[in-house]
Amino acid sequence: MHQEKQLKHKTLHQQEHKIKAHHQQHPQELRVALVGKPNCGKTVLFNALTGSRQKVANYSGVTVEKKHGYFSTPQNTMITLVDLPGTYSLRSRSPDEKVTRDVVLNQFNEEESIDVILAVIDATNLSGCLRLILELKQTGIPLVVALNMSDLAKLRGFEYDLKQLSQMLDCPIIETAATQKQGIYELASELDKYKQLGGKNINQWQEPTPEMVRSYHKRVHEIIQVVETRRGLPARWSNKIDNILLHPFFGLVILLAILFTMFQAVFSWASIPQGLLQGVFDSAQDYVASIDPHSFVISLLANGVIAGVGSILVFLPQILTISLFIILLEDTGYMARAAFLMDKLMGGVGLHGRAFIPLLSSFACAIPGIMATRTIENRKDRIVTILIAPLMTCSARLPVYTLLISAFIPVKTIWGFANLQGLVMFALFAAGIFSGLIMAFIFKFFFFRGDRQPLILELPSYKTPNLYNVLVELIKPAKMFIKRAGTIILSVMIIIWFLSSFPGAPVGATDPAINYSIAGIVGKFLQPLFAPIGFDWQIVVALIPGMAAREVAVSVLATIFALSGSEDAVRQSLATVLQHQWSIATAMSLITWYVFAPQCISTLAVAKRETNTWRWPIIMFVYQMILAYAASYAIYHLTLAFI
Amino acid sequence: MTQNLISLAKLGKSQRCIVRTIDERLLPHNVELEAGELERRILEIGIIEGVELTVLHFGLINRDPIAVQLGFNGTTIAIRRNEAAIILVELLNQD
Repeated sequence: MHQEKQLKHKTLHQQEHKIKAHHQQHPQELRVALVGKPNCGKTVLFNALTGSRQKVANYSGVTVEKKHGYFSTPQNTMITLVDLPGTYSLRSRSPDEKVTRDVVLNQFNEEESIDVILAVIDATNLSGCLRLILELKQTGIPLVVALNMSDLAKLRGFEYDLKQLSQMLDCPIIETAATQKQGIYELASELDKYKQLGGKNINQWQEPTPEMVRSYHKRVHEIIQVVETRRGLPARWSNKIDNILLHPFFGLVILLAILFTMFQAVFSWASIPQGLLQGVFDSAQDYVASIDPHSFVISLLANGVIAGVGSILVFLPQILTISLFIILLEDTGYMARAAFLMDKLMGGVGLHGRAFIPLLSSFACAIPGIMATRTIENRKDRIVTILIAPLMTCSARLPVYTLLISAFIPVKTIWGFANLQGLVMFALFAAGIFSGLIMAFIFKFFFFRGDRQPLILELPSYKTPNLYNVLVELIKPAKMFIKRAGTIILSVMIIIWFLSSFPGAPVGATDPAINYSIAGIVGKFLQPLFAPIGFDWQIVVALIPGMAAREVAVSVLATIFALSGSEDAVRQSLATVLQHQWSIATAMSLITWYVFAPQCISTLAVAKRETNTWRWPIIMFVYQMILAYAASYAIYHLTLAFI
Repeated sequence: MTQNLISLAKLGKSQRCIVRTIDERLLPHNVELEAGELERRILEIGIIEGVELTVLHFGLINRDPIAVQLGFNGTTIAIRRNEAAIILVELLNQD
């Protein structure tokens, strides 16, 4: 097990003396880059080493996450572990993959240099991993290799001569099983030997040509011949599962069933904790508001802060549910299969197979959907997916749809079986999906014209997800979401509350206060703009706070028409009021508006965060605005003409 | 070496073959990559001259993409027929 001792080459011995001298004066810090090919268990190892001490940021100019984790070794060296995107080679294939190369070779000016590379290899697929190790050797940076998934390899009967392997690779090799937290201590102790090495590394790495890739492979083959003392069994059960899950027909049926379950989970299971949260926020709001109905600070707190942040935080259960599904699909290895199954279907409009899951998540809420686009490696494909995600009918549209449908669509059965109201609801979902696909096609054509990205994708063997890893990964989107709700969204909510509350209603006013507020004034001012699509000023006023969260429009309409009572009663009576207030053409136009319009500031903010530029959220806003206006105009005039 | 080489894209389910050459000029529809890049990606993932492949699965529409298994380490790789067209293989007899 301590074969690495024999490996110490001379330079290391010399450096050890320097280290000891150094040790007494400075706190020990080491920057370690975690590199490995996709599906080698790199993320699990990262989580096992650092636990929850992680920081996620973006590299400037690219959409790749900068993931840092921190831990200390047995000898109290502080390690900063930099997790790099899974890669087959140091050579950059895309702007995103450049990150790995640039961090390792220290070409990011803002980055400090890397002291040690921790390379992860998969013990069940050594031959597939060693070429990257040979490439990494060329950089001259000290290399520590973690032979991960050693537990699985032993189960399948693989045996290696590790002493030979570490001699041939000229670097220490530590056996790990990250899911079992085995070898983690040994790995950390190994890193202790590299404290404050200093010195210049001589970088001999150059971008490999196809011929060099071939010769690397040849060398890997030679190494395997020597070190593999026993060849394990192939993952037969994985093949057997694939015979079912990748069946051309049944595979798609199963994929749809999984997606249906996910849909169900988000719409029904998650709605239970969502209702509870909503209740908590509602009573908190009522309680705070009742302290002093005339106080300005209390009103800000109750109607701005609590109502605002509450209306966003209620989506947390849905985001956790969607994230859980995505993490499980990734960890089991199914995600790559979903991309395989959907490739041809999504490819018809120029989308990548992987765009499927994020778009599906967007039916709950575009925010987790856009966050889920991170699984799409290609930047262009990812941006197109982000741009069309808000067209998928999110759950916040449902209260508005339900209200308008129940007010304006008669309950009747058509074609002998279909409920007209249900049919309209279905049509609204379909309109979102179809316009999304058409827009994807248009974006591909105008902004990202060019050939398709190739599909060459490894389908990893199936694995049981590791509970600890799932939890660590699940906490991340939750943390990020709560943080955002507490910052950007909170400030937007306060602004909107301010706009709808100031100036207050004059003494003796008969109309609701919002009519006299800035939002009311702006609404009336903007109304002529919306007259061609049949909106009266009340709708325009409701649309303004609706920018914070779509469903808020319902409560604003209720306020405007001066209704009060329980939420259900409001909805009931509001429907009746609206029937007298609006024509069916206006109602249809408003529904259509809600299908397409960029009625959600949070979505735009997340798009900015994920793309790292304002360009795409602005394009998103403009195209949705044009689409919404044009569609509403068409529907308004068609309805006027025919009904 | 010039005996009956056919493109991997033409293979049916369960057929086994040995990779003989990879030639980017055979690509039917261009992909958005610089010259030599597609070849490198195929090599990097492990499809290299002399490797045995078995076609295991394919998609519903036009039987595309396909999934092949590498003989030496059992890795399964999904690849579109378009990209598979540049891989020339020698068919092995079915046992």
